[in-house]
Parts: sequence; C-alpha cells; structure tokens
Amino acid sequence: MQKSTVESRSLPHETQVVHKPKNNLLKRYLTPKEPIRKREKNTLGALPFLLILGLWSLVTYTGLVDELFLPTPTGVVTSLYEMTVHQGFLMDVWTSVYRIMLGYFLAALVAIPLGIFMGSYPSFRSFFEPITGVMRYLPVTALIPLFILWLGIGETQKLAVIFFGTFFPLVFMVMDVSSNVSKDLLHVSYTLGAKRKTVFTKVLIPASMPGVMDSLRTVLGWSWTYLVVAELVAAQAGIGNVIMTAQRFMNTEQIIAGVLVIGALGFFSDRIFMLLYRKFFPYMSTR
Amino acid sequence: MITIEHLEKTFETPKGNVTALEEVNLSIDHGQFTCIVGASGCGKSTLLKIIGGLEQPTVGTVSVDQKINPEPGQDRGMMFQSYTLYPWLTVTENIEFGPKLNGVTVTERKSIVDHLIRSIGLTKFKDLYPSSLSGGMQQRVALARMLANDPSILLMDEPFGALDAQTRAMMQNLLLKLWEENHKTVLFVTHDIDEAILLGDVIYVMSSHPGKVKKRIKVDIPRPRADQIFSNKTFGDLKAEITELLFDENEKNMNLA
Repeated sequence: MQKSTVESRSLPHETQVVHKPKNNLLKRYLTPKEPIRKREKNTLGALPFLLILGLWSLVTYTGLVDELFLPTPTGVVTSLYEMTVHQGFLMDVWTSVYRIMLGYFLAALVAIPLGIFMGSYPSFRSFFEPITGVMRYLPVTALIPLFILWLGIGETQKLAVIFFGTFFPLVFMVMDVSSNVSKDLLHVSYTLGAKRKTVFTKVLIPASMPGVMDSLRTVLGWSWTYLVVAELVAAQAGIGNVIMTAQRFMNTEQIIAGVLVIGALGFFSDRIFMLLYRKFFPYMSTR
Repeated sequence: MITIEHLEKTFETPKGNVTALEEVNLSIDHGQFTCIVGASGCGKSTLLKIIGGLEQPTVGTVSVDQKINPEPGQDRGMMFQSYTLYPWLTVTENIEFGPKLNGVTVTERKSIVDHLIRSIGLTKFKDLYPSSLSGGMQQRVALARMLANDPSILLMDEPFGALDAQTRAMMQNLLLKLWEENHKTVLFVTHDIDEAILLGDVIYVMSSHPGKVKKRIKVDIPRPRADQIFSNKTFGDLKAEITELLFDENEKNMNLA
C-alpha cells in the first residue's frame, strides 16, 4: 500500500500526458462487432465493384484476354445501348419482369396462407408437411420436360417453373415464421378475452407478418434463377431468351449485358422490399 | 374464491409420462395475495396455467368462482416472465387490446387507458412501440394491459423475474400500491423468497418432482409493507424457514440427478 503511494507520487509527469485515442484502422476493423462509420461502410461496399471493374478493364483493354471470351466494359455498355434502342430489349425486360411478378405472386398467394396454417395448427402441419417435404426436393429443372409435355412451350410453362421453384421454399419459410410465434403471446391473448379465431386473426397473423415479408424477399431473389431457367428453354422473348440467342451468335457482349441487367433488377427489387419492410413494420427496431 | 382439489397433471413426453403436479389441494380466498415459491420443476407455472384455463388438469378439479375447470377468460388476467406485449401495437393500443375485444366503447376505453397509463407512469411513452421501451417499462405496460379488463383474479408467473434488482423493487412497490387500491385476488409465482414475503398474505412452498404443496405459510406482517420489512424480525424468521424448506428440496434434487 505504502509503496505504491510513493511510486505514484514519484511519477507526477505521467498524469500530464494526454492519451489520445489511437485511430488504428486495422485494429478497429478487426475487432469483432465493433461498429464502423456509415461512410466507411459505403466505401467498403463500393470497393469490390470497383475492383472487379478495374480487373475487368485491365485484362480486356490490354488484350490479355480474347474479346470473344470477355469483351471490354465499353463494349458491353455499347451493346446494351444498341439492344435497348434498336432491338427492343426493354420489351424483353418487361416480359421477364411480368413473368416473375405473375409466377411469384401466384406462388405467394397460395404459399403464405398455407405456410401460416401449417405453422399454427399441428393438424395442418401433419397433413401437409410430409407431402410438401418430398415435393420440394424434386428439382424443378428436371420437371421442365414434363411441363413442356403437359403445358406446351407457352407462357403457362414458364409460369409453372417459377411457381414451383418459389412455392415450396416459401411454404417452409412461412411455416417456420408462424410456428416461432411465442406461445406466451397466444396464452396472454386468451386471458385477455380472445377466442381461438381472434387469436389467429389478431395475434398470429400480425405477429407473423414481418417474418413473412423477410421470406418473400429472400425467395424473390431465387425466382430470378428460375425465370432464366424457364426462358432458356423455348422462349420467344425475355432476358433469358436474349442471353440464349446471343450465345448462338457467340455475342459475348450481349450475354454479359443480359446477366448484368438481371443482377441490377434483382438488386433493385431487393431494395424495394427493404423499403416496404421499413414502411409496413416501423415497430421492428433493428433494421 | 379458487378451490383446487386432488389436482394432478401429467405430461406425455418421448421418455414417458412426467408428473408435473400431484395431489395439489389449496383454497384461495377472495382478495388474498398468494405467493407460490418452489425450485424449478415444481410445476408452479403449470399450476397457474391450469387455473388460467390454458392447460387442463389430468385428474382433479380447479374451481374458480363456482366454475369447474373453466376455459380461459378475461376474469383471470395473466402475466408472464417473458415480454408478451404485441410488438405491432403502441403502448396505448396494447393496453386497450382486451377492452376492445370485449366490446368496451371508445370513450370508456380512453378513460380506462388514460387512468392506467398514468398509474404506471408512462404517459410520455403512450404512442411508442414496445421495441423502444426497456424491459421494466414493457412489464409495466403488460401489468396495465392485464388490469384494463378489470379481472377479479391476477395470475402472475414470475413477472419480474427477468428484471434487474432496482427495477424489480420498483415494480413490486407499484404492484403493491395498485393491489392496495383494488384488493384483487392475486396468485404470484416466484422463486425469490424475499419477493414472496414482501408481497404475500400466504405463501405456498412447493416441492418438486412431482410438484406438491409442501407447506402453507401465513405472512403476519402488517401492511402497507415497504422496503423496511427486510429488517423486520418476522421477515427474517420466515425467510429462514422457507430457505430451509427449499434447501431440502435442492438436496433431494441433487441426489436424484
């Protein structure tokens, strides 16, 4: 005790030193869960795009890679412009978006109520879970020949691919959401005077909604995959068809343009879902 | 008045039947504040759920105001340890949920809600969602929501169990204050011996595996009670007695395991 007092007294100059917090970037970035500034977040997020673009430019403009395998960025942009202005590419985009909206909308229309019922009532779950559990492992891509046989090569076949591709994952995700609604929440509602039906409509459904929205958002991303799969086979229009046709003419520029447009559309639809989520569920805090 | 006779509750599990409650007999007078203490696994939450009508007894009867094994209803309000506010409703909307269901008019609802929000001291927060409230505030709203239906019986399942010590003390005082105004019948489950003695007229000590009533203890400490009872002689004696009863239980459970 005595000794330490003496020691601390003998070092008065130590307390004079102002310890500046060290702005050690690396240390901060490598600390788990340590938040970073918004500007840093945006910069870090944009970096990979720039890196890819840089690398892409490097290997194409220098002629390191043959243009047949990888065209230049300007080539792709020019091609996209040509397609839009002279080849009616916007119509293809619209056709694809429309197919997604319809197929995905129909899937959601059936999957959401079914999922909520399965998650809420063990009776429904026992009835539907085994059969849907088997069916969701049937690869939709392998069913395409059958769809063509049964439904032809028109619009219905394309909708069927998107519908079956998104329906089963959606059912299971929604089921999980509603089966995770806490039982205490239901119990407390009964003691507040709610009957079975009201507990379902006024508690279970609203409690499931944010999770349902999350599932919709995830599955929408997957629906683009199924769209392209559907359009690669016997389509007259659509982004997938454009890509397929371009392949036949070895038009790599158009292939890449088509892929990039799908990526952009997916990204924007995801953003829209995020905004809708914030608007509909202002009470969900951490978003 | 709640009367429980020869109550037994068995749950089917993959490992066979488990008896949660066995030969429970108790009677609770109108307006009495009853605490139930016991180690975990003594079936105290199950007992509360059976009285609330959320579980059915395997054997025996629970009668609440002459109704035998009643369905859940707004005459028995319930509160849980977990936060059970509706996240999509504001504080006001949460509190008026019950009255709205039961067809209370808008004007009446407003006066009920205003009164309750004031008594839990959350007037400033009335339009906020639960996610922006602290745990203690959320439980205050849950208390108000339960009282909004004006139930004659309050079933409280460790409602303050998840709160920090200071918030819990504040909630206990709030509950006592409200109870002294209306003297509703309260069944309060807790594992906190201090809390049981502070709040209860009667304490049932339960044994576990299977859950049984081990002893009924009357708390002869005058009301209004407050923090000073912790230095009261009777308080010390009761605490020693209950501690010993529960200690025996823990010993037994240890040996079982």
